[in-house]
Amino acid sequence: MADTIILEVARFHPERDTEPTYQSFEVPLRGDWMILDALNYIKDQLDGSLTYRWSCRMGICGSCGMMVNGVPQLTCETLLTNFAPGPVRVGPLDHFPVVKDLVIEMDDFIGKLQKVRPWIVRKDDRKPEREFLQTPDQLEVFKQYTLCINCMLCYAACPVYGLDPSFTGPAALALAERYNLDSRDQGAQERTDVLSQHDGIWDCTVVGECSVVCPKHVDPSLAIQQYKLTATKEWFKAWLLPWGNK
Amino acid sequence: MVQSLALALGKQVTEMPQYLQFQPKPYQPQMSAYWYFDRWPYLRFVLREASSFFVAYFAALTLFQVAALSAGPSKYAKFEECMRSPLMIILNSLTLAFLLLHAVTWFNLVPRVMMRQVLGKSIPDPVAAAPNYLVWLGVSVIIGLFILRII
Amino acid sequence: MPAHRSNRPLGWLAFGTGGFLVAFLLPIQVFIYGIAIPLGLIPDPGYKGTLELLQQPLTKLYLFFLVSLAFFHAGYRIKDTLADMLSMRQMDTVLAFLCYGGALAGTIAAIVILWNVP
Repeated sequence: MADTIILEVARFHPERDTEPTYQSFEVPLRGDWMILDALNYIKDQLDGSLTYRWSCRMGICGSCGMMVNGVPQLTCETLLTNFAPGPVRVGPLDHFPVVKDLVIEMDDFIGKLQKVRPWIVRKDDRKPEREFLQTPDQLEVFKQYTLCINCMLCYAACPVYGLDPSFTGPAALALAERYNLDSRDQGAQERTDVLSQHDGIWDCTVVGECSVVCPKHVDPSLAIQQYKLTATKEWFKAWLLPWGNK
Repeated sequence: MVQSLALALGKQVTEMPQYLQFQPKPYQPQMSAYWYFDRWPYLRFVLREASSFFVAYFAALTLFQVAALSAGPSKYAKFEECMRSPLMIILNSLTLAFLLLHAVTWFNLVPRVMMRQVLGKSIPDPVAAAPNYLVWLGVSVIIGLFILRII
Repeated sequence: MPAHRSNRPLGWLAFGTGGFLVAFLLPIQVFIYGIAIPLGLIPDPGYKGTLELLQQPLTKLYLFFLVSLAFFHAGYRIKDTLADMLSMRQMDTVLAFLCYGGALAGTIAAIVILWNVP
């Protein structure tokens, strides 16, 4: 195996560029390095102006999501030797505005997370006397959807979001379903108004790539399809029993 | 933002210092019109969706077949002759291929969602899909027997 | 019912039911009528046999549901595909009219044609 590998990294200077270009760097090909280590090497030794986000370097903070050879990955979990002999193309996450180099603007994503009301909603505001009880079986129903680390890889993988940024998106919808399925939550009606819109669950055409790229195996596609079943049931109930609880 | 805060506090907004603020413009990426050729999973998705054209085609062809049947033996013979033409054989083979794609992707995807909804917990994918394949086999045999007038 | 809620569930239900019917029932039909009989791989029930099958009310009912829901399944999916591939998400109403209108026309044609079997 060769000693080094070429990384083609996207560069974008908002003051002078109109679109990103790719700059090649030669980095050591170490067997225990991730793409993130290679980027850190570039910033330390080759070009200190390279700008990118990272934090925990162990796949839990969700900061280091980037496109690696066209696939959204967490760069702290992507082994460099997987791409030998290279070159490897590293770019900013697809479908998001690029602020600089590999950094994207995530305001839209944050807004969508807030939009789905991701907290326990109770019908009455009285302070509970004791903690809400929940059996392991009840936890099992929604636990998978709690694992999301907000890394946005699913948004980069979703062509629907790319074509139509008003789509609420996989992570936000999975988060909404996480709370809808939580036995302690009573806010399903409130969230339905957000989710049952055209740009809620119904924009999803089940491409399924969101679930494929998710580093935490949240399977947002499953959450969305589950919610389609629930929403359809609710829709028929609303039509057939308009005097139902509201 | 400072101005709106001042207004909110009911203070008079007089001369605010004018300065040129650097406004960096983020790059807005555009999806290419042929985005589905970029990656194989996307192309696979579009092919699956394209199967719907073949579904509509064969549903219409079925109605043509029934209409030909109602019109008498000579018209039906003409229909059968048309079905034997190379063009139709190719088209119908393509239709079968796309229908198989539809069936396989459907059985691998939909039952596990329904079972997850009903059971409330994840079950292994093959466990959810397998019964559907068995039913498919059984149903196909039964329908075949009906069409061939064995039942 | 809140006016701003999407009415997609209705189309989606037809899409789902049609999808199941098409997946289970259509492939064998395509194979037999489209490939096996034209290529002589299996004995042809012929005009008499097929007419006898079709004259039974159960067959007519079966074909009605299969064909009609197949049209609605295809309509829903084609609408989504056109919206994605041709980036036509803004023309939602036009697409809905074409796709669901087509499915409705197909359903009416199915009723007429199946009714007129001698």
